[in-house]
Amino acid sequence: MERKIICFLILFVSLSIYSQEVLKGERNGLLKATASFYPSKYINSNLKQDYLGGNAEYFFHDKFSFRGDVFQSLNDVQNTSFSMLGATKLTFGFNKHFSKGKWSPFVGIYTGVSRLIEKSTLPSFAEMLPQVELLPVSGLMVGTQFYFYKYFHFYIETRYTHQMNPFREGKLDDISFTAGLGFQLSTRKH
Amino acid sequence: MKLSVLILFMTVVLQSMSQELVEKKHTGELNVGVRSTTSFFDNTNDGHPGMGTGGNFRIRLADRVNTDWFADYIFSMNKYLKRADYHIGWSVMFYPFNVQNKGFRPYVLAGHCFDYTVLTQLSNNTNTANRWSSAIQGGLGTHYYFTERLDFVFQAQYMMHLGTHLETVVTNSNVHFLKEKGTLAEGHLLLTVGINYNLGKLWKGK
Repeated sequence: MERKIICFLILFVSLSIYSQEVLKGERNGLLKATASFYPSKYINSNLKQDYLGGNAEYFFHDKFSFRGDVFQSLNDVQNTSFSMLGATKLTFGFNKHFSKGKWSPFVGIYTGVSRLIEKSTLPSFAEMLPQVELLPVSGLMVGTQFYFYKYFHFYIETRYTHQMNPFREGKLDDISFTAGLGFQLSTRKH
Repeated sequence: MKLSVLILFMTVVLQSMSQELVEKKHTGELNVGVRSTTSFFDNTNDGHPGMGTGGNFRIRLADRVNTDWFADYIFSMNKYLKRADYHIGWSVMFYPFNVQNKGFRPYVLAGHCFDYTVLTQLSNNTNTANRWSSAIQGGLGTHYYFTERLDFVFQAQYMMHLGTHLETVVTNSNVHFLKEKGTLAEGHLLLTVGINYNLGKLWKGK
């Protein structure tokens, strides 16, 4: 038991020392995670959908990181042709960072899958039950991060996601926005 | 004269040896990446492009020869039906020019893949047809190296499906699927963009 506590303390102290470097602009080895609320708007309609999302990001270079995101819709949306009863997205991508000191503006691209539950509201499709469809998504993101403390940062970002409407011809492209507080830990000694 | 011949001989030998050192530099590299593919010319889809997502890993067999192992999910639709293609396969990539991991690095590729296709009528999701088939693909592409370990890829390839194929007949908004066996080749143009990261070497080049 004592040995475990000592190991944990050594690991914690080591990571604390590593984390100081983040404030000086060094990002290589940084592991970060956030969760936030993502309001989004469909581009081809006036529909708005809110998501709860979270991501994990790892910097394998001072200027590049790998990032995975997951989103779950919080509300149903409906227009004259369909009702969207649920949406879940899982995406992976790479970000390019323009880090300078505590600031880290970035652009990124990602791809992934989206699971949609939709029901038609058109009279001709009235008898159809809600359908579930898995479809590919891809997109771009842009934003910035501000590392104000060795374990925490603020961020603001916007995402453009391209996806088809799997239930009728057309697209379900959307733009989402978020900002918040993130947690980071440096895993590498500089 | 003898000395000149000897120097010339030594120069050629040393040059080929140093070339050998450069040539073996990237052998054994393992890359992983994500990619997005756009599919054109699906004959069951009235030319509507499909959009796909997928992943791949690469194992570099020699400095000029790479192998790409991929899985893609491609979705497309028109006003009558939707089509889902699942591709899993591999390609061999050959680098005819530059062998260094920097800047642009064009390649030619050829390979094989297995394909599962599902067609579904939009207004009646119980009306569906599917098929397994095999395919061959070939094309051109290029890497662009952001760093020695991270590269962006753009490639264009033509994929030709061999074996069973699906035909769609639409009459008065009713969709009929016909499954035909034979060697008729149907295909599509696939444009892929992706990003790959070099995890390291699986083995050292000799």
